[in-house]
Amino acid sequence: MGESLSFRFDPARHYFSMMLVDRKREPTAHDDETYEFCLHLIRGLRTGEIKGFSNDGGDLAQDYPRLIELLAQHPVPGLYDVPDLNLTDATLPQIITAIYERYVATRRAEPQQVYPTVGAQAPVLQVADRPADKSQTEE
Amino acid sequence: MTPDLIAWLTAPQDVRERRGRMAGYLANEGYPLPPPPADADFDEAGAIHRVLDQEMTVVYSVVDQGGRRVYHYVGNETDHIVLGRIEHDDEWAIELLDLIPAILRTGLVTEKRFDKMIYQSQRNYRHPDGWWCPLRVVIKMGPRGRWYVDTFYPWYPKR
Repeated sequence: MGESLSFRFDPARHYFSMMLVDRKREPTAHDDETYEFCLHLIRGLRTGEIKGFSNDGGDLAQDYPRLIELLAQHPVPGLYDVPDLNLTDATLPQIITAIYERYVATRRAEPQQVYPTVGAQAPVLQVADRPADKSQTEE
Repeated sequence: MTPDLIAWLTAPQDVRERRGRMAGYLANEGYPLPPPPADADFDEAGAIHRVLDQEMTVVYSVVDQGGRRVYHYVGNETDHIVLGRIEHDDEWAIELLDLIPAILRTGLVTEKRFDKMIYQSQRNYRHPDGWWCPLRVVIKMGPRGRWYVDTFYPWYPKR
């Protein structure tokens, strides 16, 4: 089992937020430059440990191809479970690809906030083996 | 921060009620929401603009160092900035929300695009435990060419 991540998505701004559910609480700040502002690593100020991920100030619809390239150049280690996306043992690029395919590329999401719900599970997703090429993802 | 807390904070339909819940939670955590900044322009406060497919109410505007009039919306501050800071355990920075106008006027430009700017405070700000971080403000250009405050967060300094 991977580490469990909470999940929230705002379709209006193509914004995602994922935090480790069992993280040790400590004050955090954002490492936003490693991935050219397309992805923020939320890091603990005491330990430097990664506590979660977001694309604050970004836009997944615009940033997705570049973000996948950057994640290939600077991989984030670890496997994660995202129950709200029905994903287990997924890498970060697989998770971000699933978000992109579900909420951005197919435009299936309604234009309202997707907040955590209790007891509801998303449909099973097919996670791409590798990032889709640019011709498939650019709008 | 549990998903249940986020669901509770965002449950009310009305933005003022959501803001009230968040303010109460933050006060209990020791990070009260600051009053609106004194160095902003409130002439258009209450005006409604359509941004991000939603109607947003202006809190204040600021003319940034590039001469752009930048609007700050109550819905964006509540449902994106404050909620995000709570969710990411960086709610310590919420006490400094009233620095947004000053950062837009005097901050360092970290990233510049035709429709997006990232500013960084010139000063570092102290977390109560003693950590020092600069703050970043992202502004974006919305429909009709209007600029708005998109987000605000503490930057993780390189070590």
